[in-house]
This record gives sequence, C-alpha cells and structure tokens, in this order.
Amino acid sequence: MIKIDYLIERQEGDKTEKYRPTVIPTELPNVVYIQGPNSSGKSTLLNMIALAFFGRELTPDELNQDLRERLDNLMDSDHQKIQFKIEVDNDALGTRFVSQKTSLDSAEIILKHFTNSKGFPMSPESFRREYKLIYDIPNSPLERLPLLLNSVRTEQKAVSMEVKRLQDQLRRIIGEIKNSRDPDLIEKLREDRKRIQTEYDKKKKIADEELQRHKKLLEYFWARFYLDHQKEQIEIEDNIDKITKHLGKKKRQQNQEYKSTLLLRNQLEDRIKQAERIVQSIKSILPKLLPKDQIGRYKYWAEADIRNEVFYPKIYSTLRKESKSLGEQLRNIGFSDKQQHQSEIANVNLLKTLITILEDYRNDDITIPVVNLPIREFIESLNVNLDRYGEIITRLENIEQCADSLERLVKVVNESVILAGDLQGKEKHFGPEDNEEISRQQELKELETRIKGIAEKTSEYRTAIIKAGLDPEALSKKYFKLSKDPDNKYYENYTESQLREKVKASESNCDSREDECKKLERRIEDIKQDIHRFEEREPHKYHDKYLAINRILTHVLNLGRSFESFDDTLKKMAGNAVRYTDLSNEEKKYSESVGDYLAKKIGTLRHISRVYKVKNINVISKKIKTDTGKIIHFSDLGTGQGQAAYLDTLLSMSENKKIIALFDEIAMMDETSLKPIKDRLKKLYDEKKLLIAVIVQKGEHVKVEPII
Amino acid sequence: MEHNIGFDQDLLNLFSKMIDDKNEKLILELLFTKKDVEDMLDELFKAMEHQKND
Repeated sequence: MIKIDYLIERQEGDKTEKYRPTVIPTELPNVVYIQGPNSSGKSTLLNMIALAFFGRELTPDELNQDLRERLDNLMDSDHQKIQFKIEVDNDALGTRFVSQKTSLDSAEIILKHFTNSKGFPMSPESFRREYKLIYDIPNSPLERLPLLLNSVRTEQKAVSMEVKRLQDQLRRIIGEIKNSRDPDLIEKLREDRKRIQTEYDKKKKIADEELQRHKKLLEYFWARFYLDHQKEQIEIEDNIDKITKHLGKKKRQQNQEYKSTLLLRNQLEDRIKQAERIVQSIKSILPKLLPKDQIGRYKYWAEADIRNEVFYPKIYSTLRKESKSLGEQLRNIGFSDKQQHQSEIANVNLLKTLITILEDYRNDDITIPVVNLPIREFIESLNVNLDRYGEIITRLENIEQCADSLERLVKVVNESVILAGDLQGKEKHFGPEDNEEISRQQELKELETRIKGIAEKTSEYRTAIIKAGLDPEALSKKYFKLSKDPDNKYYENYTESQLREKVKASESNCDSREDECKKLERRIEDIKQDIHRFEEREPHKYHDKYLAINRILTHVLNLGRSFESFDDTLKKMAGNAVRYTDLSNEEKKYSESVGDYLAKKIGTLRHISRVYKVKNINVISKKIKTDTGKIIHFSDLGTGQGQAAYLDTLLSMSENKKIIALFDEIAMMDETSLKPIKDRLKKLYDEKKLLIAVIVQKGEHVKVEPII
Repeated sequence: MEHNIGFDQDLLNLFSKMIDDKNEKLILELLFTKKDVEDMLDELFKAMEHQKND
C-alpha cells in the first residue's frame, strides 16, 4: 500500500493557491498502472514519491535532466512551496517506509524505515546501498538504448569500488603482519645473536691475548731502555766527577793560538764523538747479526779505543781494520740472506704496495671480490701477513744499517786521524798540561750536554712506568725474565726507535681489536633489545600467509587496472562519435561482453508480431542479435517496443537492490508492448526485489490498475 | 571487513570473460559471493595451495 498526502502552495499572480491530491486516489497498490487526463496529478504523484526516496541524490547518469528540473522546481523555486508525507507498506518484504517533508519552509526530507513498530531515520547513502530508485520518462527510447550503458557503468563502478576496498584491506593486513610478532624473524635474530656472540668470544680471546702480549712488550721496552739509560747516566756522571776533580778550579788565559787550537780540538772531538755514537748505535745489535765465528773479531772491534786509533794511528788500527772486515762480512751475509729470502722479500714488497694503494680507500664501503671482505678488514689481514715477515725484514734492515754505519765509522776515524795530526802540530806550542786541560775541558762540555739528554730520557721512562702503576725498580729487576719471554725474545735485535715503533703498532692493534669487540658488544645488545621488542608483540593469524597475501594483492591491483580500462572503454562506447571499427580488439571483446550482458537482462523482445530471445545488443552499431541469428536494427523497432525494451532492461539491472520504479509518459506503449514490463514487475515483486512500482500514462479518465 | 556487491551471475560473467588470469577470475567471483575478506582469503589460500600441488 502506498499512501500519499501532499500540499503545494503556489503563487499565481496575486493569489496563493493550495493544491492537494484530489483526482488520483491517495491510497494505491504497491505495483500500479495509472491512467489519467492532463493535470490530474500523475506527474506530481511521481515527483513526490521520487523526492521522498532521495530522487535528487541520483547522478546525471541515473536521472534524466527534465525530471531533475521538475524535482528542483518543486523544492527550490520561489513561487511555490511543498510539504508531503508518503507511506509505503510492503508486506512481501515485511518493511515500511514513511518519508516526510513536514513543513513548507523546511528543506529537510526525513525518511524513516520501520522493521517493527519503531522507525529509524535512513540517510540517502544507506538507502542507496539497499534500494535503487528508477525514475524515468522513456521518451526517444531508441536513442536512449545506448544510455543503458550508464546502468552498466554504475554497476561496474560498484564492483570497481569493491576491488579498491579489497586492495585497502589487503594492504592493511600486510601492514598488520609487518608490525606483528614474527617468530621467523625472532629466530633469525637469535641465530644472529648466537653467531655474533661466537664471533665476539673468538675476537675477545684474541684481543685479550694481544693485550697481554702488548703489556709484556711494553714492560720489556720500558725495563730495557730505562736500565740502559740509567746505566749510561751513571757512567757519564762518574766521568764528569772525575774530570771536574782533575781540573780543579784553575782557569787559563786564552790567546789567539790557544783559541785556534781549541777550535781544532773541538772539531776533532766532534769527529771522535760521532765515531763513538756510531759504535754505540750498533754495539748491541752487531753481535746478533754476525755468525758465531766472527764474534772474536767483534770483541776486538768493540774493545778498540777510538782515541788511541786517532792519536796513534800507526800503532792502533783495529777499529778501522775490523770495521772494514765486519762491514764486508755483513754485506755478504745481507746478500746471502736476501738470496735465501727472495720470495719472502717479493711478498713483502707486494703486501706493502697493496696496503699503500688500499689505504686510500680504507674508509670506503667497498667489499673486495673473491675474498669477500670489507676493505678495512682486508688491509688488516694484509698487515697480519706482513707481520709474519717482520723478523726477516728487521734483520735485513739492521744488517744494512750496521754495514753502512761501519763504513761511515771508518771514514770518520780516518778524518779524525788527519785532524789529530794537525792538532799535534799546533799543540807543540803548548805543554802537556795545557793539552791535557784543553782535552778535559772539551770532554767535560760534551759530557754535560749528553747527560742532559740521557737524564731526560731516563726520567721519561720512569714517569711512564709509574703512570702505568708499576714500580721502576721492581720492573728493572724483572727485565731478565721479560727478555727471556718467548714473545719478547724476538725483539732483542730491535733498536730503541724500532722497538718504540713496534710498541706503537702493538698499541694501535690492541685499540683496534678492542674497538671491534665493543662494536660487536653493541650489536649483541641491539639484537637483544630487538628480540625483546618483537617478543612483546602479538602474533598475526596470517603470518604464514604473508607472501601469499602479497601475491593476492598483486592480482587485485591487476584487477583494479582492468576495471579502469573497462571504464575507459565504456565511456568511449557511450560517446556518440564512436564507431565499432574504431575499437581495439580488447575493446571489441569488452563491447561484445557488455552486449551479451544487456541481452541477458532484456531477455526477450517483441518485434512486429513475434517475440525473440535476445542474444546480443550492440549499442554502438545499434543492432540487436536474436538467438535465431536475426539482426534487428534499433531504427526498425517500433517506439513502443523500444520503450518496452529500454524499461525492461533498466528493471533488470538492479545491482541486487530492491527497486522503486517510477515511469512517466509511456504513451507509445500499447498493451502488447507493456505486457513484458508488467510481467517483469510481477516477477521482481515475487522475488522480493520490488518495493513499489508506479507507471503512469495519459488516459481520458482516471483508471487505477493494480499489476499484482 | 564485509563486501556487499550481491550476486549477479550475468554481471560476473561480463567481467569474467575479460579476465584471463585464473586467480583474478577467482578474486572477482569471491567479491560477488563472499562478504567477508577473511572468507575470501581462505578460499584464495586453498586455491593457491592447490595450484602449487598441481
């Protein structure tokens, strides 16, 4: 049952007229065919029902412009105001609607839906989700058949929206899985932690061992040179004491001759000191480089007195003779060692060259192919390899340096011999006491200069030992033990500067190993925190399906793209200018498929005197193909038949929603053409897909015919 | 999580004819027939598992 009540207040010149439904009954069956004369209120009835069910919310595709203007005119014009109450009871659906515009001045239309005694307001959006309002005047039906595509488009858009919703839902699920507890990831992190812990333990052990070795080396270095310098300092102090005592406090007057003699003596002293320094610099290393059978010669050399050699060169020549001989011996040993260690030397040269080149790239994030090591680690491994040759290389370097020093010593002694000869000539003018005094003065000056340097060094070592929390005297006592330690024994050939470099390198190595261990410690701590953080999360039910859902999302995205292309094709098909031959193969396939769909919806078609089963409707070519293979051009259809075909198709495309069907001015349709529409409405009502249907047509008298 | 296209076999056929990939066809069908995304996923997992076994 449809109950209608409305009031139209209209300004007609200087008068305000009020119109209410008077000609057409105010209570109508749910599915009804109404005939009536002009101005009987047929169209007003349809307009009121359309407004009641949010007709103005229909899209331009869904509502023809004439009808929209009619609705707008009722709601928005200045010369008239309306109010209405439309009630619909549908027993088949078990539902009741009441739509009201309660005041002439209010624009608000309230639609209430009753499923029991209580009604709930329904918004246009929620109404549209379940119901489809079809309000149409099927004029020029043949031209409008292609507009059926708009209905296809509406339905296609609904599916496309669902595809997009599904995309969003899948993305959300993927995001949830990513943020959920991942047992695989936790297991992987645990394995990483274990692996890094093992690596840490290994590196820590090596670092601790290296540190112990470094401490021993450092103690050895301090003890050895603290003792050496201390001993030297004491010796020099004794000498200074002796000379000072010898000289007493007397001071000689200095003339020109005395000054030039003193200058010559100074030059000679410089040479002799130079020679002594050379002897001193190689004295401790030389025996370690010589074969055992040369140690006797070395002893002669070491015990030789430089001053005797300089002042009495004809009597004493051991230093020059043995220096020359030992130098030659060393050259031979060096040559033979080089021959013997040719491949090691080549390796060292290669390693040094590689390290020099790679140092320029040390801080770059590069991995060396084949060995698959970061550049920094690769340099370290090369250095470790280089260290293996340290002993050989140091020995060869020391041999060369000693041989050079011996050659230089011979040269310096020879120069000193010449200077001494000159000095002796000058000193003839002085008495032996004078010469003795000059010599002692010179020596004293030298010793005073030397002792300053030695004392400074002794003090430096002492400070370093105390700073390290050690007792210098206790460390000195430990020296013998330290020097016999297998790790330190190897350094006995090292000079002070060589050993200092070694200590520095060892310290830097220890620092770098410690840094490495700290980095690993931090990584282990970070992983522990990550594990803790991930363990606190809840697992996701689709965790195992993560990849599968990603694959599904890819398919759904493809589907979305397909629907975009369907929409483009549909727009093209609905355009007036398009010809079937303009379409691509894919577009033709889609057009064919749409034609099949429309044919399925229209079902049968009356043409002339026969009813045909429709197989395909080609809206571009404007042809209908029947199951018998007959081709009917749109233009060959009668207007009434065209109207029927159009309305029938509209009704068949309900998107599974319940329909409110309002058809106006179906004047071209005779009873025969109207029959399939009536049948379709009956069928829809029986299938509970129809809320109401009102069809109006011009007639001489008001006639209300229930269709069901 | 609910979809609500409603089942219209003719409409489904219209789009289905245009889709070649069998998984995409199935997704389309499920959009018409399943209201819950979890039901859809269950069906899709089964189908994919089946394809893997094939």
